[in-house]
Amino acid sequence: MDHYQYLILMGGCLAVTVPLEVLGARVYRQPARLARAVLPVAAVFLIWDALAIAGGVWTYNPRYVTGLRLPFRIPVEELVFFLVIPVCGILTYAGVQAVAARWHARRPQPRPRTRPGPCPGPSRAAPRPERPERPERSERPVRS
Amino acid sequence: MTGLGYTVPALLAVAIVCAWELAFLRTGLFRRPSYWVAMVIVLAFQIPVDGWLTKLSAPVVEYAPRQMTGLRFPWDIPIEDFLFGFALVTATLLLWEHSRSGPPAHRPRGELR
Repeated sequence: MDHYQYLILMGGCLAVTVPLEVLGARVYRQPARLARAVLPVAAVFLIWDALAIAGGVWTYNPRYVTGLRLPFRIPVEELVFFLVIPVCGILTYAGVQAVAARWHARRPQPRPRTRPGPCPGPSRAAPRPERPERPERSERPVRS
Repeated sequence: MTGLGYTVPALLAVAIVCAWELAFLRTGLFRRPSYWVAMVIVLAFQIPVDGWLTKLSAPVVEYAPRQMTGLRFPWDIPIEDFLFGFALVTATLLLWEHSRSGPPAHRPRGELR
């Protein structure tokens, strides 16, 4: 099992963050947007990784990795790392926003609403309507 | 130590990511409380995960001592790892925000920043 230590750790990170999606993070439900955020950054960091491996900046303990290597001697675990950790980061960010939006929706309204429409949905950050100096981007779908 | 192998690239990565947002993407991510709250949570989880990967008693990843400052905190985590993690997660969140807003031409007026 020791050879799977790194991969098991990454699996644990994915497992721990799954509840955030259930809480309303809506990250896995936007696969194209998720790919557009994760893949370019992963590509850049894999280049950094390859250079660091080639330069002997860091090495991987053969005892705790599978030994499967990608081109440029990158352990397959590193590819998994650069996919899993950013996904966990987005889930955390979107999860915070979802929880904040929920809290905002549950809060008693300070004054009657002047325009119709539901409270901000779960994907919205927690902008307070009474703080217009902090402009938030519109959540309306923008048609080109 | 020279720090050229890890410390310098890690500092550069943070600078590049910040400059990328401030000069080009302008998603406003750094002004969002939800970003900073999320980064504190990410940091809190980075410590056990990274701590496991870098613990000197049974390291999964080993670093060449002369490529870094040698400062390890907490536990045996090289402090450079926190710069690395910040750059990785922030760059991803910037693209996540950027793809929500769409190309600049499609953004509502006055809401670019």
